[in-house]
Amino acid sequence: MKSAQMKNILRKNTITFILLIMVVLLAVFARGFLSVNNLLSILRSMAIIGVAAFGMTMVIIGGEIDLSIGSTIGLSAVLTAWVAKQLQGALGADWAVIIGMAVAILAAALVGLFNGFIRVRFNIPSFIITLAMLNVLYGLAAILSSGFPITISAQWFNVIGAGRIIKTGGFSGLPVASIWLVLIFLIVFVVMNRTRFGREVYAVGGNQEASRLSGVNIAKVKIITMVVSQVTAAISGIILASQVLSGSPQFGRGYETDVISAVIIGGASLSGGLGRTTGTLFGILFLGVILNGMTLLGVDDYVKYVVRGSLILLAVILNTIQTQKARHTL
Amino acid sequence: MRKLLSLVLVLVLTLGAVAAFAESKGKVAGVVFQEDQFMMLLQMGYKDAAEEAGYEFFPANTNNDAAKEFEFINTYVDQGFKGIAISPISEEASIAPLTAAAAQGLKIALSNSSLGGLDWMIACYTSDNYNLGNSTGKIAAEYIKKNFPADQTVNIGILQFKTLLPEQSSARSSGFMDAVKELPNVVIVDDQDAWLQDKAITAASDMLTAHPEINILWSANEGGTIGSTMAIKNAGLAGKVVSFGTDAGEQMADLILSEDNILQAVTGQDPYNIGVLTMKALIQEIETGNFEQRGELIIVPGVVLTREDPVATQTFKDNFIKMTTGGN
Repeated sequence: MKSAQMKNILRKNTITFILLIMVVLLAVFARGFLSVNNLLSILRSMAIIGVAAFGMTMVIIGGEIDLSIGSTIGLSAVLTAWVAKQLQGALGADWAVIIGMAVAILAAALVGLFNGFIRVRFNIPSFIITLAMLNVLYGLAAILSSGFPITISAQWFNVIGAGRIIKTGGFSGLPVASIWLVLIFLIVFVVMNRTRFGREVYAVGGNQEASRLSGVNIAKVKIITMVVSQVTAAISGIILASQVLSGSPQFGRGYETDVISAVIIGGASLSGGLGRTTGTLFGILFLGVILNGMTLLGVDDYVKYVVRGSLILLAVILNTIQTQKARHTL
Repeated sequence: MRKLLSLVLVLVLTLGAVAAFAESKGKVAGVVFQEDQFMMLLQMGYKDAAEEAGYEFFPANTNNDAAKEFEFINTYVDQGFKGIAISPISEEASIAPLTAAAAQGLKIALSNSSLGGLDWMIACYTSDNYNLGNSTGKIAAEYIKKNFPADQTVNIGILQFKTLLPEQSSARSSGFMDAVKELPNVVIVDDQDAWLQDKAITAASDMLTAHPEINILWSANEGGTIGSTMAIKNAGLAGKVVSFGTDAGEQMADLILSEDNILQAVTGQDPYNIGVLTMKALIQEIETGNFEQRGELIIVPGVVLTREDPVATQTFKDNFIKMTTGGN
């Protein structure tokens, strides 16, 4: 292979190579890192951030942003637990939690619809709308729960976020949370790469005026992506509530930064029009591997902040350079 | 029509203000610095004691922001508040604004701090963080003696909140470690930081992966305890690894009562009572100018919940639910 070709491959897959280097280093220095159970544990841990990140990928490619998803995660967990608690006397704990999940997802879809409507009707930047909603949704979750965690009594609910399937002798099973992660990835991947709507999202994010002239319904695209972002955040909230069998308004606080980091590390441009679902998957794995690796290495907690922030910054700088080059070649 | 509505509005507001002023003995505030369960209960204690004594109560939350704390304190001075009960953000940074406010006549009682003996403070009601850890540590030591042979190494992993509140976290973990390290076969194999359920579950899972030899997880607060207990359950390690923890609430009681036999014991604080006692001290000082234990650091005992005493745990849970939901 020629060195120019090699350079090109390296440039196009910067994050994948950084991730590979990290994996090799951790495999050598961090005890237990390469075990199947640990690798699956990373997938399970990152399912909450990851599911929301795929929704965010669509929003960012479409040229918008959703800063409210951290609060949506908390509100969905609280709504699921709160509805389950209110209805368990009448319907039993099992049905009550199912209805709780449905209410949480429906509420998130309505929030997304509201965010999208305000965006297109009043032409207010999405970061301002969703920044305001970040506070509104957190407040609603706190009001609903009176600030206290709400316990969920249906034990089967734990399977959604913490269950394992296909257990064999030495294998502790495939985490169900990782299946949600892969499922949402596949859905978003197909939508973004194999459907007309996906092409419209790229078009709207890349050049809104050209899209409008080509007959794309910009309002519809923006509203749908905002709804998807909220619904995926609600699914993350339900997975989180399932893992700890409770819902608290504290859940999800600050998650929007991790989710947006994963998308940006994955190569999406905040200006819209550029980004890949597979890139986001690598971004999620990148964050998961850093977090897991530092815990396995027993890195000092104060140092963790510095290392994590620096690695994210490095990844974003390298990806931004790559994105700028990609834009110039378009 | 508009004039009539304005007149009615002014009348209602004036009557409301007059009525509030006539009924209230004055304004007092309760200031906390986080939105967790402990602070919510502390705030409820402040409120109930203030309203029972006939004062108009104003809650506030500084959200760990020193600038916000400074702003609140100045506002209370400007608005002629009689006094405040406050859980200060820092034992260093909060002293200057509080001292200045006290010099301007604001009465100040403290909660949840180790400050004591300062001439401007009425008193400080708090838990003893060392004892919170030590109390659970002694129960863990008994558990180890009962369940492990003396020649078997018992490996313990710890979850703290040292990057959030270093003094408190360190006091609790020192208390726990001092108790368990009296046993020669105990080794602390890992010590991580995670205090919210969602982060703690990941940190605890990673610890269990890095150290499959761990037998016990201890956590310094509620989020850590719930997260580590659920991490053990989710990893299918119930029956192999157990947990001990700190703080007490509804879910903690449920986990102790659960048949999975993971969470063995917790030592909880009594934030509601701390809030009530702090506000009562403040009001006594406001009304009589003579609080007997002026300037003292007063320890409010915690509550121990164990798997050995399910009746006490159930009673605690019932009372907790009644207190937080108003009996609903």
